[in-house]
Amino acid sequence: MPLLSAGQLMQYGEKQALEAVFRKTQSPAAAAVYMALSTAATSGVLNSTDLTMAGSSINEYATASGYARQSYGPSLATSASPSVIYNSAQLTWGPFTSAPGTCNWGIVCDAASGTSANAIAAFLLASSRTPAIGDSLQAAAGTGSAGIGFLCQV
Amino acid sequence: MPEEPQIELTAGEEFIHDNPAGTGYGHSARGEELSAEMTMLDLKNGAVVQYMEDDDAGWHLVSWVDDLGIGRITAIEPDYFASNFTRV
Repeated sequence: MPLLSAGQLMQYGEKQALEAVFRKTQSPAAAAVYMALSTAATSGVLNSTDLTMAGSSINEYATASGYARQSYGPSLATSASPSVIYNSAQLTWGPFTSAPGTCNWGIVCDAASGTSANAIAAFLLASSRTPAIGDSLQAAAGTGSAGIGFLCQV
Repeated sequence: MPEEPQIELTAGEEFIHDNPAGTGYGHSARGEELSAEMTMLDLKNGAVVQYMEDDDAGWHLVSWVDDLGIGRITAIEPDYFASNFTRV
């Protein structure tokens, strides 16, 4: 099973990108996508073939904790090769009303809530985070440089 | 304890966080003062939120803007929402 590394499209995202680029289908209409947080272990768990947020390897934070997915707000893809895309503003989750556990991954999907959301890309956090009750969790805005923000390339 | 009355919610409706204790959402959950950094990021009393939808657990997702000007989405427990948020 293909497992994931940092900033990588998942199967749903790969298929959408290839079919759009090779003119097999029209791209989906422009819309918001959302960054979820996952407790999946840093290696050997998160599976790129999980098509939706219902996938058994996704392990998203529990919703009854103040947690909610945040709008990813991506930049335009850069004019470079490899071209990259990243969050253009800081992302902040919480405040949490119960301890949600340790998150290791961010996962971009196409709905603000619900397990039927399509899983588009996964990003390994540079260091895991374990917010306490009352805390908010911040992620830096991307700059296009590796290691800053949630940056993805094809 | 009697159940809080359920509020009929419509996407896009605005509410104000009106906690009788005057504390933020995170502060209220923790039951004590937050650090200065977490206080700055808290959903403060008096903040205006916009209802989006309910999540799978039935919590209310609201969007709001924090003190840093960052757009946020937070899930609010329904009973807390009923007793601590009022329509704008």
